[in-house]
Amino acid sequence: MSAPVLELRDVSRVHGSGDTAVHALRGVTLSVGARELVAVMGPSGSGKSTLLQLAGGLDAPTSGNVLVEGTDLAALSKRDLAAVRRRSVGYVFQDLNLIPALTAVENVMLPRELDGVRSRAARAEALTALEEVGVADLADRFPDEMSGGQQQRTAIARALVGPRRLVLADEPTGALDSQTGEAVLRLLRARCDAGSSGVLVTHEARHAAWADRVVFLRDGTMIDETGYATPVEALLGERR
Amino acid sequence: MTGWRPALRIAVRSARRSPGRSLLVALLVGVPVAGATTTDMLYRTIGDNPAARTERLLGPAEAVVAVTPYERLPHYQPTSYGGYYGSVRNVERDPNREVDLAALLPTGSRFVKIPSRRTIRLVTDEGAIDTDLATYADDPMTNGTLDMLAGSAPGGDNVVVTVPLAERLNLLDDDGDLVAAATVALPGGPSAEVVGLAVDPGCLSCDLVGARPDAALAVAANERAPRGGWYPYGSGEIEPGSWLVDLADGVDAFTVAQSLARHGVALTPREVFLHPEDYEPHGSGANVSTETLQAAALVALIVGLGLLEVVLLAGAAFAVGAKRQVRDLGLVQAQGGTSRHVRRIVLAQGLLLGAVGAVLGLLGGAAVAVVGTPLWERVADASIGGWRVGWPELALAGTVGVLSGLAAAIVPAVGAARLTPIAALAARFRTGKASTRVPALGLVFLAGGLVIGAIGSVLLAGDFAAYQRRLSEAAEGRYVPDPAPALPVALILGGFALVAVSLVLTIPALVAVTARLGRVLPMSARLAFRDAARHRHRTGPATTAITVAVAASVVAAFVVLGVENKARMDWAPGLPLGSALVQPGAQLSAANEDWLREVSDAAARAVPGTTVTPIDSALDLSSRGSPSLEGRAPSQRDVLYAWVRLGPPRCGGCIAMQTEVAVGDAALVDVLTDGAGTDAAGQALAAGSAVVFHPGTVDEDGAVRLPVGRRGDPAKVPAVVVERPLDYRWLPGVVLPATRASELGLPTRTTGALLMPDHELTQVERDELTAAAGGSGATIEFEEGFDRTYALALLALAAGSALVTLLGVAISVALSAAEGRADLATLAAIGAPPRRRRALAAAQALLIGGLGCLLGLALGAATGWAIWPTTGAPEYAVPWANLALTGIAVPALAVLVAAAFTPSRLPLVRRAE
Repeated sequence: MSAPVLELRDVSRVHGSGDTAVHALRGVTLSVGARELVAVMGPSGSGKSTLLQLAGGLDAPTSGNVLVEGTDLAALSKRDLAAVRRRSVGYVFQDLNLIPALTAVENVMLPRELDGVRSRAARAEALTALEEVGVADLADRFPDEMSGGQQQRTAIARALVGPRRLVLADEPTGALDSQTGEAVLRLLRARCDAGSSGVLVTHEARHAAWADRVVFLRDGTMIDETGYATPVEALLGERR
Repeated sequence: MTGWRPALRIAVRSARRSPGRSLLVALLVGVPVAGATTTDMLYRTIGDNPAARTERLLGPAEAVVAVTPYERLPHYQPTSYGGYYGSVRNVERDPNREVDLAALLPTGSRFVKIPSRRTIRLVTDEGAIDTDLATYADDPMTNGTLDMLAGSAPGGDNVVVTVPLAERLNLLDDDGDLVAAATVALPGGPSAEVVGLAVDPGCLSCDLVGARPDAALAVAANERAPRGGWYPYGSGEIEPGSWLVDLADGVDAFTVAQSLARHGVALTPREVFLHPEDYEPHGSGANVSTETLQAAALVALIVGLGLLEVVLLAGAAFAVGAKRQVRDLGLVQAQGGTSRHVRRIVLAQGLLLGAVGAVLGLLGGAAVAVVGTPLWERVADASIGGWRVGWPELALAGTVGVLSGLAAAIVPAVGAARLTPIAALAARFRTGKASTRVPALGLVFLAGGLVIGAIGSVLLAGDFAAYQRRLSEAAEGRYVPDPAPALPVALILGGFALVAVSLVLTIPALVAVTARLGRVLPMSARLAFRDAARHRHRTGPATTAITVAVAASVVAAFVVLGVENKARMDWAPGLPLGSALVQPGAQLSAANEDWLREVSDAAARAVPGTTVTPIDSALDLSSRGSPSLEGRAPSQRDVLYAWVRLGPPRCGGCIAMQTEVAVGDAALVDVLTDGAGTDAAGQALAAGSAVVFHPGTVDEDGAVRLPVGRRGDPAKVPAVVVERPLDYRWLPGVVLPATRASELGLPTRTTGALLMPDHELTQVERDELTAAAGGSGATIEFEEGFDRTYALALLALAAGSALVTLLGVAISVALSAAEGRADLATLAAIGAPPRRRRALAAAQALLIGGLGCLLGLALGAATGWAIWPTTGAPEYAVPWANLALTGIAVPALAVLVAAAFTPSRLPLVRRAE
């Protein structure tokens, strides 16, 4: 098996201190390989989004290590972390993913331009990415001229433009109707099959079904990493 | 540039998405740029500057040539004031030998006489009027002397007249066209046909006859007053006999100047007029005067404060923009954007809106200048043929505009760049406790400013105390200069600037502290105060902008009041209150009776019931070398003056002034003293003594000394002192009986007439009297008492601070409404009545406007109090009306305006967060 694209080693994240300390994550270990789509499930406040933020270097763990393509993020400066987000990791959020002042293609080319790529080249890459997610014809539309599904497709294109191979998707279908949501997940699945990797945070089991693997979080602790069973009891039941 | 491209792209699109806020920032930047543009264009075009002066004096000519009375001009150096002859050895030219300019100038050069003017008298059906005659050759070089409006240009003996003169001469028909066979004539002829209507581009309201130099009218006018009387076109800065020259192609004017100087001919190239400072004989602007430096420092302070206002007000708008954009900035960070990228995105908006504002300002300012042409022409009384633009100044104004936009975005940009990606994605803009370092730094600046200002104040107060002591000496006639020491003033203004900077740093924290008062206030005020404290990023700059503007206006109010008091202290009436003095022009007409009759008739027509008292002055002709009036017209320069000592006898540093010597009787004394004449005065005059109106006019022997003759002893005439209730500066201070004047060989001429109406003149009567006097070629002065012309300035200052206060409050309240939609929606959801929104706006206006005005009042009053003695007024005075208006009325107005213009409808939207 090739080296994991993303690796979390005994990662914990505590907000605040003393009596007001909140343990968002407790000793989570997770590995995501190439072409793998991993779903993270859990109730609200279980630490799913925190896990995603740590994975992309948006936040730093209180303890443990996060490795992206073998690089330990703890060893990087803020500037280098930003470079990792430009070149290795792409985010897709629940909604308001796109910068409203930029067109679809400009949104997609943004990380490339921030990385110093010339506009013409960045635009060409972005158009290719939009082509791959099936919305190339919407390239010059502004976000408020696009449907929610089209916006999420554009966000996925942006998350995978250039050399990026890891998509971190935080409830990407949360603001979509079920049919559009399914289409977006099918696309995400297809991108992973084409060579990318992904972490999908969701609390809907039918969405998690698109993943190769499902992990469950509760109160910041990973409670199950076994695979594909619908975790209704685990999610809604009493603490074991 | 690659790094800036996405930032600029986002800036352009964001500006389009928030047109209101973008326009606000662009206008804040653009209005001062527009003001600078309009001012610059007006100054360049109609102001007193070298380019305009050159155009006025030279027209399109390349040089001016004057034939000097000297054989040669060694070390000749041309200057724009007629040429500097270096060390001229007085080798005068033979006056009978003509200088052949055509032979001296390079082949192919052309020259014409410079346009000249003189006063002439024209006969009319109703009498005579004095006007000006402009003579100018028919040559392109004299273009611009008169602009033709209708008819044809002067030619042969025909003349043209300006429209105001045509109106006075009744030469226009009902349509404003020239009547057929219109003529003008000198007394006793000749007459000339008027063939066109013209306008003097340098003086639209001027009466003028335009003719060629060899026209019969011009020749006759010249023959009747051959000695002098001509003055050059423009402002008397070039010798009347000069020539305008168009040099042959390829000839260097400076080389020609040196070759002409060897023949005693002074040539001044156009370049010298355009850049006079480069051709000053004793060096140029190397020696900058203290006054220039002080003025430059004051201008820098005013411009600096103006920019601070723009940066603060626009900064508030940017802060809101950055806050509303914060999630976008978070997305940029999530996509790999660094702090530098985020900073650039906000700065790019400042750059963009600064540039848009600068361009709008430049275009708007130019448009105001051009569209307002009729107004400027009326104000300047000059026509604007073409606009001149000072490109370097406009480039500077535009650049300053762009930079002010950029400066306004700096603080929001730095704040946005400090946000963590997670905080930005959650749209959590920091509204919690601010850093204590910034206010602490502000307190350091505040302390520094206060200490420096206090030192300046103490230094100045010392000077002021000495000044007050010396003012008592001024009553004895000593000269007392105003206390205007540069160092204390610089210290006080420097302290003011430091305190202004400290306000920028501390006021946001002060807003937060003040907002704590909200806990004891009603609900609306409590909410508004808390909101203001949480959103210090916008309420702080707005409050600071108000503070600085109010402080500056209060300082100016102190200064204006001081200047007014000083002017009041220095003021003395020139004439008895309500009267007017009419004086003939420089030439004293030999036909006194005619002139007096004209004035009396005109006054009687304009204001019936006016008493006209002629004032006959004694003339001293001996100083002019000719003891009689034979063969020449006397002028005002021949009038005899006596000296009035304002201090005690033999006082070293005392002021003395001259007073005119009149010839008359007891009746004249009675008029000149406003009815204070005494029997003793009448008896003294009958006995051949003089009457004087100030004790300092007589010496210790009780005699007035009349400086008759070029040298030698003055004539001493025994005098009686009749003190006037007030010192009428424009009236004679000595009256001689006619017999004594005759004994002394002093001829008399009527040099003025005192008009004393039997009632207070209305403005209409004053205008009619002025027009009537002007019609006879005379000047008229009214004595209306000390008029408070400064009240308007004080009102303008209060209005200015009110405007900035309203602007600051409006910006902050509007931004608050835009930013707080979610809070308002929550209020609506829990059942708040619609009027609650108005109450919130009013309460926030009260906090921002009230705090800003109070702080501004305190700072302004302290600075004004400290700097006030520089006005030279005798004692402290406080502009209470301005302070009350600024401290109470302006915040109240802000509250009312905020309440009135805030929509009462509460938004019913879902909470975004």
